[in-house]
Amino acid sequence: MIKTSDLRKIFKKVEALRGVSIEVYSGEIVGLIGPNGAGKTTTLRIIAGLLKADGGRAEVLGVSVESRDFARVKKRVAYLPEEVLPYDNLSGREFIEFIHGLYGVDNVKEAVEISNLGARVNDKIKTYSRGMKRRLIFASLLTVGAIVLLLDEPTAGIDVIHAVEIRKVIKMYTKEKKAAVLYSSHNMLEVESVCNRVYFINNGQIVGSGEPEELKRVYKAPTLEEVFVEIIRKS
Amino acid sequence: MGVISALVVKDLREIISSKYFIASLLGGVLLMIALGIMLNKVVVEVTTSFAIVVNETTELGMVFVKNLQKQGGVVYRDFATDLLQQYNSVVFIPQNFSFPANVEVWSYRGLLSHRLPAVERAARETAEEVGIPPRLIVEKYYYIYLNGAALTKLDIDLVTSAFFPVWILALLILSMTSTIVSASVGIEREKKMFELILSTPASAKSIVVAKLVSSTILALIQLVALGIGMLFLLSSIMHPVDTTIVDSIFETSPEVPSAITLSIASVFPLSIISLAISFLIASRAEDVKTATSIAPSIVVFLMFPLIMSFFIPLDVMEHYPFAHPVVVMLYALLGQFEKAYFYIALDWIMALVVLFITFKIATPEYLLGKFK
Repeated sequence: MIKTSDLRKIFKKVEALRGVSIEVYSGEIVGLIGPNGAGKTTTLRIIAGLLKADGGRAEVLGVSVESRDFARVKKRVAYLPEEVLPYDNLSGREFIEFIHGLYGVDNVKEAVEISNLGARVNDKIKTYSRGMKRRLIFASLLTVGAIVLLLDEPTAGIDVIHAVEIRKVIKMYTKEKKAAVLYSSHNMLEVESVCNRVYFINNGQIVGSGEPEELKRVYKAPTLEEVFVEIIRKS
Repeated sequence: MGVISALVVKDLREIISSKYFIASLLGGVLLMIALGIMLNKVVVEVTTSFAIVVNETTELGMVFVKNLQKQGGVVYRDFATDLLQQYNSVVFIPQNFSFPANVEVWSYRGLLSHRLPAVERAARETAEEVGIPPRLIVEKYYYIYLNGAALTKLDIDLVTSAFFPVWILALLILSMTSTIVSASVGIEREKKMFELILSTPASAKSIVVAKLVSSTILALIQLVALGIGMLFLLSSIMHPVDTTIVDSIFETSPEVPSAITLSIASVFPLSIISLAISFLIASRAEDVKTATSIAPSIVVFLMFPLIMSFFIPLDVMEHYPFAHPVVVMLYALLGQFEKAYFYIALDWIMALVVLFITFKIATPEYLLGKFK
C-alpha cells in the first residue's frame, strides 16, 4: 500500500535521501527508525505528497504521489507530523470537527474516546498539556477513515501510560482496518514493541531491514538499538 | 530592569533576526524611494508649470510677475480655458496690484493639491526687493477648475464629504484584511499546521481561498462595528451635504451614494490584491510576530499613493491602482461613468491576475517553507 523506490531528495547541497526504497503492506506496522536527521521525516513528507522528490518514485495505494489522482487518494491517508500543534483558541472538540471537516467525515464521538480527554475536550486547547495536545491530534487523525497512516514520532511528549494506550490503539486499528502504517521514531524500544517490520535509516540511506526478532537473532543482539549500532559499525 | 531589558532584547532579536523582516524593510525603503522619485516629478511639475495672466498692472505688479516668471510661470495677456489644460495653475495679476494684494489662483486638477508655493515665494522676493516686511503681502484666493468649470464651495464640500468616507474605508479595509490574513497565516506557520492540513484532501489552492474568504469576513465584521462607531462620530463633526445642489459642476451630485458604491466596487478588488500579497509574504514568516510585523508594513507602502491622492493631481494618480477608489469616485461624480467603470474593471482584472499568480506561487513547498 506504500511503496518507494530509489527516493532521492537534496536540500541545497545536502543529500537528505540517497535512494530510499521501502514497502508497507496492508495490515502491517512498519517502523522507520534512525537517529535525528537520518531522513525519516523527509521520507514521510514525500509519501504524504508534501515534498517533491528529486529522484525515484513514491506510491500510495498504487498511485504516484506526484500524479493528479493522488488528491483522491489523500482521503484515505492520515499523516501525523512530529512538531504540529493544534490551535490554542479552539476547544478540543472544535479541533476534531475541523480535521474531520477536511476529510468530509463526522466521527467526533470516537475521536473523543480515543483521545481520552473526557470532559476536557470542551475546554480550550491552550489549557491542555503537551501530551493532551498530541493525543488530540492523533485521535482526530485516527478517526478520519484512513487506511494508510504515516506517523512521525506519534508518542512524542506523551506520558508512559498514554503512550502504551496509543500503541495499543494503533495495533488494533491496523488489524481491524487492514491499514498500512509507517511508524517513524528514533525510540527503538517503542518501535520494537509495536512494529511488524523495521527499516533502519541513516544518512538518507536504508542500512538494514527485517522483522525485529529476526534482526536480533541475525545480529545476535538483545535489542534493536544494539542491532542498529552493529549495522552502522559494519557499514 | 534586567528582566524587562532581557524581554525587550528577546522580542527585538526574534523579529530583527528574521531575514524576511529585513527583506520587508529593504523592500519598503526601495518602494518609498521609487514612489519618492515618481511623486517628486509630479510635485515639481505641478508647482512649476503655471501661467500668469496679466494685462495691465502696476510697477509693483510687474516686479511680482518677474519673480513669478523666475519660479517657472509663463506670461499671457488674456485668459482662455485652454490655459487650464496646458498648465496646472493660472495666476491672475490684478490691475491695481499693491501690497497687500489680492491674487486669484486657478487650478484645474488636484482637490487638496491646488496650493501654489510659487506665489508665496514670488511675493516674498518682491517684498524683499522693495523693502517691505515679508508678512501678509499677498492674499491668495484659490479656485479649483474641473471639467470645464470652477468648483463652487458647495462642490468642494460635496467632494470632501464623499471622498473622506471612501478614503477612510479603503485604508481601513486594506490594512485590516492584510493584518488579519497575516496573523492567520502566521499562526499556521507557528503551529506547523500547514504540514498537517496539506497532507489531508485540502489543497494549497483551497488554503489560499479559505484564508482570503475568512479574512474578508473577519474584516467585514470589524468594519461593521467600526462603521457604526464612525457614523456617530461623523454625524457629530460633519454637516450633512446638500445633495440637491443646483449650481454644481457635478452632473451626478444627487447621486453621491451611487458614486460611493462604485468606489467601494474598486476597493474590493484592491483588498483581494492586498490579501494575496500579505498571504504570500506571511507564508514566508516563521511565526505570528514576524508575519504580523512584515506583511502589513509592505501593504502600507503600497497604500501610500492612496494617502497622497488628496494632495497630488488625481489624473496622475489614476495610473496607480491603489489610488483607484478615489479616482473612481471623482469620475462618478463628474458623470464620466465610462472611466469609472473602466478603472473598476481594471482593478478586478488585476485582482484576478494577482490571484492566479498567488495560486501558482503558493505550492505546498512554498507554504511549508524550507524544511532544512
